[in-house]
Amino acid sequence: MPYKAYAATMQSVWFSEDEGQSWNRLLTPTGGFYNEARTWAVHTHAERLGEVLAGSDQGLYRYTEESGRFDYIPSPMDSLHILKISQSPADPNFIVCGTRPAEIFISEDNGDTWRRSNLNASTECWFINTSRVTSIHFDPKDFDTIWITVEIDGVFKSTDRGRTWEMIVRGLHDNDTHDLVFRDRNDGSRTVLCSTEEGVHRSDDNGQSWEHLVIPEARWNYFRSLKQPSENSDTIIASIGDKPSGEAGELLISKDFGNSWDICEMSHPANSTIWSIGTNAADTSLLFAATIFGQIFRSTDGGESWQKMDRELGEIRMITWAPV
Amino acid sequence: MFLFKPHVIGPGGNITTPDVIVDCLFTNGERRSLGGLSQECWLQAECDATGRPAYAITALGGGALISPAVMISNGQTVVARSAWRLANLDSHIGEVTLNGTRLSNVGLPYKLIEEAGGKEDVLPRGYMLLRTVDATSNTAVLSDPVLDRELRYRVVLEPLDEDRWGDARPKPRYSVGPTKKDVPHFI
Repeated sequence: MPYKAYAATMQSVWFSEDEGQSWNRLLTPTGGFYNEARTWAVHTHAERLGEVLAGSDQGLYRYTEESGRFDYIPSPMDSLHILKISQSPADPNFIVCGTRPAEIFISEDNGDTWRRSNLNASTECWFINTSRVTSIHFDPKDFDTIWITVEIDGVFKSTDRGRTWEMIVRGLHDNDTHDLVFRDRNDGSRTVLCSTEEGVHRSDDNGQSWEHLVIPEARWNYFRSLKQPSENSDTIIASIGDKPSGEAGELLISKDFGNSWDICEMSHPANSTIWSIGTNAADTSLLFAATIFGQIFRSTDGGESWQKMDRELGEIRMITWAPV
Repeated sequence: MFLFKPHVIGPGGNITTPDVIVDCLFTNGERRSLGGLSQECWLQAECDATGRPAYAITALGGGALISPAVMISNGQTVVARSAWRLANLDSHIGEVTLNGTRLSNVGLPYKLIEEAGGKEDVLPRGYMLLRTVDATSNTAVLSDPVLDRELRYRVVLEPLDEDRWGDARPKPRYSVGPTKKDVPHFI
């Protein structure tokens, strides 16, 4: 299956067409996107093959294979940092973006018009001063429900397509929240895991309360990305590091949705916290991971083992891949 | 000083992204303060504010740019982050329309440039010139019938008397990360 990998970096978006071996940016005079734009988000949708949305400090952009370039999407986010992008699994025209400062902007017409959501996230926060959106998730069972994590403020949930939000932080040991994964079982029960600066938290009541998980296998408490190679599976890959940005990182794998964990086998030590893990349902065995300081790792066995790619990219904030 | 960040679309579809410092703005021939110039597509405005479509000519090393723009009745001026190179319209500039009106009727860019001390597609550096059309709309549309392309810029005006929070605008909040241990605060 031909695919491309995409990396959001502090020098715009890099593309790999050879399974992560080599990486290139679009040419500056034809690419439509400033090649040193700070870029935090790259997002693809299963129904839009060859299309990539990118969030940056220059605005929101859309790349298509047909055009071979990025096209700027006018939005009210131009002066903000666009950190996260998501599209409804059922409707790629429904786009949700999260920014720094922590705000949510929603388009239901593929980016033509936008509304600023009434997210009452903190306006100032401990340590990093300005809160920001770290992940956006459409609820796997109800695409009108949206979950987000904010650092530093906690977890928020909207059940009305982002019009109103409920803050759900009871039991979190740390409101510096980074990512979420969901597991819905046949008996109707659901477990949600949330990664934070202070480990992983588990909720068995749809986020109304959280319980801190003890993970002795984790060398550090700083958990960043949580991903399931297969949707709604028990297998999770978690990325950790000594601190942000850090000098070391590891990947952990759980096959029982967080009850037990193993350290993943990696060909080389990570040079900093592993910031992002990229998965795609088109091939659940293929994953990419990136450290914040530019290393790229690839797994072809569902996350059990990881091979470092030769190429490094400076500073990577997100990595993903998609069929083309 | 105003930092204009246009996406300049060439006739072949390539896009360049020069950042341009503008420090001299003229609207319909009159020098205007840069304080009211913006490239945002969302603006707050009085509820009775209206827009007038315009085009903007911006001085640039490779030849002047032309962009859609909107002049708001309260004095704010907004220019789109999209542009064509004027030189690429050279042969048919009179056929290009702004919201349906030919530029030959709106006022040709070359005449504006001459009035501002420039010639052909060369303006003094830092100059941006705006020409409005006699229409009321928050959307400005430049159409090029020869190259079959269009630049469309829509400005969303948020009325000052509408509050998205209604009567429940919350207070600003300060949030803390660790909740189970004392941490130093820096405020």
